[in-house]
Amino acid sequence: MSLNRVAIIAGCRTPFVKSSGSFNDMTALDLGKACVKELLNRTDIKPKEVDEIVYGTAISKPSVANIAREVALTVGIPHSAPGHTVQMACATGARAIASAAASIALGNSHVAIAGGAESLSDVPMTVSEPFRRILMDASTKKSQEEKMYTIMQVKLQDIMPASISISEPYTGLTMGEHCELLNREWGVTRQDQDEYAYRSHLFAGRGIDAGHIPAEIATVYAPKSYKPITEDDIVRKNPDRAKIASLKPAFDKEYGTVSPANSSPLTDGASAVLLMSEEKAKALGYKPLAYIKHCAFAGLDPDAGLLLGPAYATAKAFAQTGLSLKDMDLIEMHEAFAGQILCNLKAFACKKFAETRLNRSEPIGEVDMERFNVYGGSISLGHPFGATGARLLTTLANEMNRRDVHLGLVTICAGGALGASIILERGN
Amino acid sequence: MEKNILTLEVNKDGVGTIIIDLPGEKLNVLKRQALEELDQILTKIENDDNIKAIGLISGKEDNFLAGADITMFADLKTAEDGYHGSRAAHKLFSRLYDSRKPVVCGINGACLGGGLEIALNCHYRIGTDHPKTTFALPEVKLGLLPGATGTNRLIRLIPLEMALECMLVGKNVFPPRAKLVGLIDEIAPPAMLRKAVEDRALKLANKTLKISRPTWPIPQGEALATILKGAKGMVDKQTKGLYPAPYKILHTVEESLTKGLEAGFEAEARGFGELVISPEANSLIHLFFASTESKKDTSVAPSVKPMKVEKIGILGAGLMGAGVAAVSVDSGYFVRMKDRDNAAVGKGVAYAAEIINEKYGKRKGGHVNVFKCMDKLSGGTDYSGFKNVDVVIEAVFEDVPLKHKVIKEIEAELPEHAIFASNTSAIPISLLAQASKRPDRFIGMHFFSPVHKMPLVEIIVTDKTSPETTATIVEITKRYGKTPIVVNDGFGFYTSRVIGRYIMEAYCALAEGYKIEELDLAATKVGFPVGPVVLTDEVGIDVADKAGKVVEQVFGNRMKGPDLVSKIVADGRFGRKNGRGFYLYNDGKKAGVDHTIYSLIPHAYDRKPADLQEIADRYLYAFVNESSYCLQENILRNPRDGDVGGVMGIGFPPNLGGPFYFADKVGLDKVVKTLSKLEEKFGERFKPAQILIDMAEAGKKFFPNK
Repeated sequence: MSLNRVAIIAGCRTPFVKSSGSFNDMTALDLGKACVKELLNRTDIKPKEVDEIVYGTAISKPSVANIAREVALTVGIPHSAPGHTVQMACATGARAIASAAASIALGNSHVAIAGGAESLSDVPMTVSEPFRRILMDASTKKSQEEKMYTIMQVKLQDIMPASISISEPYTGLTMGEHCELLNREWGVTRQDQDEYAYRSHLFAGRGIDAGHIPAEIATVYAPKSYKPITEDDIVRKNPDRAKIASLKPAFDKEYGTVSPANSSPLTDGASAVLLMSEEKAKALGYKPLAYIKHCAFAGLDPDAGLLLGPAYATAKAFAQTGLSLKDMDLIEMHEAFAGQILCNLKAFACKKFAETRLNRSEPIGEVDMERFNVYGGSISLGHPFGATGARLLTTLANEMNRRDVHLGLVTICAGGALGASIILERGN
Repeated sequence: MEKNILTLEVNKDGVGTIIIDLPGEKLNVLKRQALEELDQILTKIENDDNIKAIGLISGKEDNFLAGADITMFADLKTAEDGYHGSRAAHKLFSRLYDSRKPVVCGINGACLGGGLEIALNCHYRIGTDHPKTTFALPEVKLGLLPGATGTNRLIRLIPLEMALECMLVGKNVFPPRAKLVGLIDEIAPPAMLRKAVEDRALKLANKTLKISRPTWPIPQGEALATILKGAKGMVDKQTKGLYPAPYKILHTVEESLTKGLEAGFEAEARGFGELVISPEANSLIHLFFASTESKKDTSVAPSVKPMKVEKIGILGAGLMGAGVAAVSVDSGYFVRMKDRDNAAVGKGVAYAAEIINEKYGKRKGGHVNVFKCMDKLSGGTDYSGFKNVDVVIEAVFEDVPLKHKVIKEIEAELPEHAIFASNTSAIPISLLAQASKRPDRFIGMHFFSPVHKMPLVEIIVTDKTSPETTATIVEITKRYGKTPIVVNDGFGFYTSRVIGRYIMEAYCALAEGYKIEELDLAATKVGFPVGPVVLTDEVGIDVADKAGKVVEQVFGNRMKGPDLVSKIVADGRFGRKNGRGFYLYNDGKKAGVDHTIYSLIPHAYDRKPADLQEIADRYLYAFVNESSYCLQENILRNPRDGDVGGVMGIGFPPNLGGPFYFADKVGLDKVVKTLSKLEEKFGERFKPAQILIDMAEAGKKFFPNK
């Protein structure tokens, strides 16, 4: 059975904005629709050509279980096109793209939209576990009196709603705490991290000034005022080292080195890419930006460097394709934390790590920083969890064309001790 | 032998269900034949001891009964005829009401006018939760009253104030509210309706169902007088005393509640008889038929099929563009809007959202409609998203070079099949089409403001416009729920040219020294919804000035008005939009006349009182004459479109039925005489159109059959 080659035609995203800000009155679903609607218009594709959508959020709302389907239903994508939702924490977007790509490769679909969205302004609130039990119990009672009586048994301290915990269920630690552990293990200092955060903003500023980042952003007319939101509002084009250094550690007040300035912020936004089989792209007259060469997803021991997913997934991708780091003309690594980036870069270059953890005789290699996150990353641009994958892929594919290079890598760490790597190639 | 409209089906329990199903039609309307059949079936039921109870339902998928067949009224030549007709209906419908066998009515879909009157005479009513299920007595909109017992029955069933609102305004009532007030007794799903009707009918016959319905106190004496007085005040305000129907309704209600049901029926029948031959009702019925015909008339051969349209591009996100966007997405089209910057697009999206929210926001479950509409709408500042539109509607600033530039730009982006429709209000379409490489797919689509409220679209075709293009734009207009009139090209087409002439007449009178408020009052007193000076403030004084100058160039002396507006515009008065015009505006609300404006016009503060009827005649005859020129010059294809467009688009008094209907009723010879007199007094602008002179001489009428 021969597989179809999968082309990336275009991608776009909404502005990435501070949560509880410009998109405060929009849900992840609203943001997803706004983005996909704009992708359809920008590419001028007839929506009825689309035959599948894969979408996702890292934190899903109970009321919108299958966001992919809901995004598709009203924006013009034919109702006959199936849509499914994926969840893989911060790798959700990458997983969605890989899933859609697989569908095209297998010939199930010819044109697909993939991506993800997140609204951290609209995180579901839940009641405490004891209160939930009481409410469930009350719902089984028949009379109003019985219901009331049951509900009245709740203790005062159990009434406060709890937002969904961001700590890892398996380890009980938050991402920031995991990053602190990793920093200590690999000897990454506060100064190193702050310097990387500075770089992220500086490079993002370059991408903005060159017009490359704005070109990927679709204007959102955000309710209720419908004022146009046209740009990211987290990035600082002229970062200030002293300001970055001044912020207090967020997770470990005493010994910690991870601060809000060297972490990715809480962000609202959405992104999407349009994928096609090579044949269909040709038939419809589209010139692909790049092709998906390979997707690899990896899991690792959560207790041993939970955020090292990129190293594991990239090693796996190289092992499966026979490619190596020096073949990669450009690399986009998701910046959850500056510490996570620096630890992964060290792990990439570490022979011992390669031997003991990656089952390789040689390290993945030293990353050439000239090719690495050339227009900043999640620290400076923001990180709406589900939307980061398609943003990285879009930026990478566009820059590969501008630089006229052949191969590129997107790699992402994700909660649950997971990693994702997607290799793109440009092609004749 | 015609097919039966009514059938009777008796089930094993002895419930006889009458099914109303007008053969070959989507909607049920009450024709004479149906009334005769009902009479026969009721006799049959009465005489059949096996039938214990009666059900009444419609055989249509989603329509109960849309009311009486209005063509029947044409046979009623005198008030006496109408009276007897109404009395006959009372007798027939009361057979249901007085039936010893219980009658249960099942209503799925619209239940209007005579349909609701039948339902009101049943003993028990079940409505469905179908979105099309509504209840209304819209007779007043045709200048009539509910004459088949409705005026008397409704006030005894639901609260008097609500009943009055239903009859005086013709308002729709939806099932939840209908249930709340007792207009219906139950709400059932459509699929269960028949079963529910039969079941309740049987139970009522067996006395195992007790009707629990809210009862409302019927006001008497002082309380009644107060309510009726309040209602009359509202009617005075809304109709300015120009329409007799609401007063007859109030009179009937008063008779009914003070002297009893029989006196009420008598008043209802007398009222109906007088109304059905009244000029107001005849005008409104004429307009009803005219607009129905205009909707069916695409102007091209019926074999020409409209193109399939899924996506509409809109150039310009101002009030017009955004209004069109809102009605488009509400009609199921996808829309891409373009304007020069993001802020302008955002304003357009916000305005569209406001319209959509106004329509659905408060309805139960309406948020679903809101997002379904808004998700269809997108906007941008470049031509992205236009490569797959089927139709482009242009609503940019009224400037020929700008429009030419836009046309050239957009045509480079559009797919081969796409139609370009310009929403210009006056620029000739053929002039705009000079910039087009595809004049066959070029057309005018003139909307009126505010787009979501105005019921008319004037479609302008040139000699190069293809029939498919016309058919497609007519189809879109109908899907918007609006009435199209297809006219030929020319400066100002039909509507803008005639309204320009109307406004010009007001300017002339203003220059003669009359008071602004009297010039408006003269118009509203005869039935224009808006006076010409207020209208100028609404349209924009600068816009009217610009249009006026062009009109003068095109039509010469006949359209030469006094040069008084240039000074007003130079004074920075543009009308409501900048809060400075003929009238004062406080926080956007219109207050009295801005007297300081008199310093800018002839006779300054020395204003003379007007003979309001004379001023009104000047308006009406200017309107009629210019409309006739449009017909003579083949801008209008027929007088019917002139009446529809005149009333629905530019506010000719509906009580007069449109300029051509009005002229017919006055008599064309008299119209010519009046125009000639006006010409003598005021000059060339009243020179009667040749077509009027010719038709008057030949003793012809615009509508020979009416």
